Amino acid sequence: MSYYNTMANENTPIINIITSKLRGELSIPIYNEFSWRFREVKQLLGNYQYYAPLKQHEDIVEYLLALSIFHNHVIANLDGAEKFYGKVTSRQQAQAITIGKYKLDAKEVRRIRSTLIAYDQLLIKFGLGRHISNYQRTTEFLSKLLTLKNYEDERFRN
Amino acid sequence: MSDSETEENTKPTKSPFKDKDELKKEITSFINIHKASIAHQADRISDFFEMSCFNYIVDYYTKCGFDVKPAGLQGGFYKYKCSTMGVQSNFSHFEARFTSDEEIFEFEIHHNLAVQSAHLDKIYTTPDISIIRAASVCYTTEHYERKVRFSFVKQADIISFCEVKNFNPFPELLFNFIGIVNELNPAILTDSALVRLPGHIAPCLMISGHPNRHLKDIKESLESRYCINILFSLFYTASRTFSKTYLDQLRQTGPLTNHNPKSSLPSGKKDFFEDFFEDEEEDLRVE
Repeated sequence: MSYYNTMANENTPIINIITSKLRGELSIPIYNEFSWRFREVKQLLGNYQYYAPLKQHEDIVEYLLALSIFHNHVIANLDGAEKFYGKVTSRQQAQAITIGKYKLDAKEVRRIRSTLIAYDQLLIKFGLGRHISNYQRTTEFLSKLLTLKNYEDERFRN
Repeated sequence: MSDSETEENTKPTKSPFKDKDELKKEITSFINIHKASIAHQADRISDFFEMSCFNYIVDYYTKCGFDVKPAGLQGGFYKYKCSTMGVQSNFSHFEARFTSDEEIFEFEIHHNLAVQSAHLDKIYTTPDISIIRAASVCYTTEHYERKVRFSFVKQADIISFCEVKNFNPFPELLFNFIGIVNELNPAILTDSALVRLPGHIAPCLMISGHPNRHLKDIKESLESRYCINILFSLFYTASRTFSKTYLDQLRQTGPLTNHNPKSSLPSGKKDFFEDFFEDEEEDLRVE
């Protein structure tokens, strides 16, 4: 299957870059959700005038869709773990959290924090927010992008 | 902060639609840089969601005036019970203590602890999070045929519970939760649940996914009939739902008539994208 591709270059679909090297339990749901949502995106952009302004930006829609799915499956959960670690270790009550043989300690949390900070910086740089990933229907996601695009058009006009 | 960092922070944001190549490059680079770290965490991702919900409940009790702290540490480590297997004393939990003028009330917040059914003593179900009376976990070797130890809490000692689901909601999920409520606290179904002092959060269904209109209608209907909390889109709404300002919007155990929140949820104070999105979706024209 294509999500086993590991070498990223400019022609590699973003979803393959995101899912490569991740274990099946995580990569398959991400890949599957992306596949059916991106199919919907293509249909919506192709058939509905409302979404027409996004048609010429299908490549960006693809990247942002993949990123939002990645957020919902991965980033949000890492964020939750980091907060719980803070609660458990505040006032030096515990040194770390163990889940089976895995140890969520200060070193692990530093790695998680570095990912979360880099992710937020990426969003901020492009005027995006975490809310871009808060949708259930693909139409909601496209409407958010459309809103952003209208706002951007207005900003650059001024 | 260095000058270069200040300069970076004050730069106007780039446009995802105008600086396409840069956005693609940045996303690819972010993924490639952090992939090893993410791959390393991949096995624990669903446990992490359960942990964050547990954290919200602990926060709730802290904000309600309880003194909450981790307990049952194992060699200085907080040992998280992420499945129904295992003996509870080998895992950690949180203790919640409420001190009033006359009395001290003590409770415990556990994860994945079996709870005795309200209908039959020898059957159990395991909610993801349970709030129980302090020191009320029981042990028996009669439950399993292999005579291994089984830990549970008796029906009389369960105060409340939460179910955590890390996916998009669907109607059956919401209705199935009522089945768990029926098993663990059937008084809720006849609106005759006991008011507890100090107050405790009513049974909660905590879902990461975003609801559609139908699911919002189901939530509204179930919450109008039963004293429960159904919480959607937790990644985005939890900071508001569990904020001190809106804490009284969460129902507490007891009859429905007891729920009279003083706060009112903000209607016009939505975030930037939500504002735009909701207006525009109403105007959606399909050709």
